Amino acid sequence: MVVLTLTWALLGLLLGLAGYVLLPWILAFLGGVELRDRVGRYFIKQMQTVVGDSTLVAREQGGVDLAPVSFDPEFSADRVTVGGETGHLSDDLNLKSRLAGKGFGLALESHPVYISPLFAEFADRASDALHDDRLALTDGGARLDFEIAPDPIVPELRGAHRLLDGDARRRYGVLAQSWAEKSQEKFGNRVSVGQTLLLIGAFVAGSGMAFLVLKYGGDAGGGGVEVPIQIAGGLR
Amino acid sequence: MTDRRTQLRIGAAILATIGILAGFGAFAWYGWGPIAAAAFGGALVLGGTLPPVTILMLRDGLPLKGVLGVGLAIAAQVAFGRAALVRRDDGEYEWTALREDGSGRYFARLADGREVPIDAEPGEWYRFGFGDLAITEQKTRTNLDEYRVVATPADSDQPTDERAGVPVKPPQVEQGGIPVSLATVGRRVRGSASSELVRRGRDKALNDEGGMQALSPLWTMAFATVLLLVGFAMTAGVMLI
Repeated sequence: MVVLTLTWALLGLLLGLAGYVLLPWILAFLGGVELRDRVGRYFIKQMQTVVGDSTLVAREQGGVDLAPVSFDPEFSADRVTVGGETGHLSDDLNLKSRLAGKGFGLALESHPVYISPLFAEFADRASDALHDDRLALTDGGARLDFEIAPDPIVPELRGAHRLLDGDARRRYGVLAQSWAEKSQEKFGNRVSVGQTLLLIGAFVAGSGMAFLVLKYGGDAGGGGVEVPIQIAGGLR
Repeated sequence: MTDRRTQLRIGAAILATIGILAGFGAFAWYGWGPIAAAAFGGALVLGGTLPPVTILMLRDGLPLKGVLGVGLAIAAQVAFGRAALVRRDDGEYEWTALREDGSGRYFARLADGREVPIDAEPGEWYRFGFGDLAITEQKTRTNLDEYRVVATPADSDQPTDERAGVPVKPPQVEQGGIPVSLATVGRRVRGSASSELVRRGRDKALNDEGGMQALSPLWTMAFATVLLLVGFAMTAGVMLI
């Protein structure tokens, strides 16, 4: 009886858990675009509540991936793991902002910088203009104007790195740390072999000194001259 | 917001769901008694309220939050069907449904009611969480004036300037777009993706694992002196007992 009651309870629990997702989905499919929008936004808000601070990363091989980020104070950047590889994202362009009230930004898998769709479009159109000789790049600082579409487009986010000033990669911080640690392996030991021998030698020397003092120096206390005395029993 | 027909469909779906669940409860009562039915009903309510309450209570302290977050993003994408991730002109992001008007043009409607037209074909959208995702940015004076070329003095292709021996065409709008100054963009991106991360990684490694951690000669001599005295005292103590 108890087992059957527990079975019914388990069935109710599973149906309840499934209902958390299935019921809104059913309403979304039946309710048209307005309800789809409300249900989707509800799940996005729940997602951001769970993740806290996140990024949508443009993968090097195409596509995007959602990943939680956490601020790493030692690098002054966000730590993020994408495809199993940990690296950092820095907000050099001041483009990280918020989604559903929580920290959010678009980023690149390849480079350690937050980007935006507009900057990705800048990179794309500037490259085209350069290719078509509509952009004159000289050391003298020629006129460098180009044109973007009047309406919002869906740019290729991966190409946004073409606009960046430097060429540091997302994993360079972690790699530099790893390599520097390896370079210090020989110096990483707090006590070297020579220091260890010196410390052992000090202990042995102390013990030896004590031994010598007590073995050979213990009878010498008091000083003075020893005078042998012989007591005779008497002469008859 | 929704028409009468849609409201009826939603009402029917809710009634059908309640009916199915009530049927489960009645079946449990009929076959195994009221305790089984009560256990089913209680667990049903618990199961339905557990995820949102847990998320509300623990927030980003939940274990496996990356997996849960992706799961919820997939749930959202399935609900949206086709979605748009829009960066508004004030910098905030909105993840919303991608809509299509009667003429086949796509747009996203922001929370404040503004509509953002999206000039893209379905082939340009990203695939994410079993759905399409159009990632774009609103374009208004608020976020574009910073980069816009203010003066466009000529429509001529003739060079009007020469810099470092290179003839430079005047800025012009050739495709009805928005002229942007790369110099302004260049100033904004200056110093980005620099080697700063490399320096910080190296510094952290040297601080944590570097040669500076080795025992200094002064401390070595101090420890040696202490060990010498300890060795002397221990040996003397053993020999005197």
